[in-house]
Amino acid sequence: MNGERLQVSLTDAAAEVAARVLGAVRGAEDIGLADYVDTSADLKTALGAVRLIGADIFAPHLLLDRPVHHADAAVITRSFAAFPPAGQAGTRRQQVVAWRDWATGRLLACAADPASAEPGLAPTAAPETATALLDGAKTWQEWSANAAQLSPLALPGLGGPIAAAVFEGARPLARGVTRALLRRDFVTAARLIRWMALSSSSGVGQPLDPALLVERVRLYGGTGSRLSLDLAIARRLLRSEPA
Amino acid sequence: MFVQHTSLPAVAAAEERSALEILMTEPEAGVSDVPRYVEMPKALLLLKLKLSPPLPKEPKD
Repeated sequence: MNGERLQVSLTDAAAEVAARVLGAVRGAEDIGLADYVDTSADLKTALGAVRLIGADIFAPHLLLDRPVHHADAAVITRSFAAFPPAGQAGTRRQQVVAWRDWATGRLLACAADPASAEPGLAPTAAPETATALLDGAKTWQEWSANAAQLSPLALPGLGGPIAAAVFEGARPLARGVTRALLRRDFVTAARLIRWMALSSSSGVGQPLDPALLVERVRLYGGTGSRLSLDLAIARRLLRSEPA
Repeated sequence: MFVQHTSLPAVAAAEERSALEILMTEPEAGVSDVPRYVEMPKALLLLKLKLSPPLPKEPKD
């Protein structure tokens, strides 16, 4: 399978995983992650999709206090076995991936039953690149693009230096959201709005009203499950029903 | 068709891992139809037309 076809397969599978997480955030009983992966025709692609959605899988647990089932946690561990994290984060892309993996690994270690999380597979040590990714950005455009790629870290209770850096960047965050909306890049806008919602729920004042922005993207942004998941998480963070 | 998997899959190949890495760092959308500033021809002339005409002077007695 060539690279483009691989990306299409992974994107489709990730949309399915995101739809399941979205259902749980909206109030469905379970994500059913293990069920999805175990019955998938392409196991490796399904596990890649789990790696891609990453920390968002824990959103129902963090936002609604839903338990993380043993089988689902085991699937996340298997996804790290099938797609092992890169050892060194040299390039900017590898740094973003390392931080996203760190978020998944940390939540797996904190939220899941220790018996289901095989130690050593998922990374739990924080990469030392938070300063380079956000504080080191030369322009607010670059800063906001990096923040959008790190949006799976915008979850309550995760913390860490990336969230702390975003909390200090209310102005570039607002500029980034405005730019994304003007460009009609609703995927990027939803990711940044999620950071804005987390900042707002943590008591950080925002130049723009995140609730109005969520509504704007909901009306104009389409019905993609990953975009809808970002908006649903933002709504839950803002406690504006329904998700 | 449902397939029940009981064993771990092989580790993903470098190409598969690269595809995943690319998707995890999806950039901003490249296509944008945002309205852009375009310099209008004879804009100065149009601006002058919008300006109010000079006030009439009162005739001197």
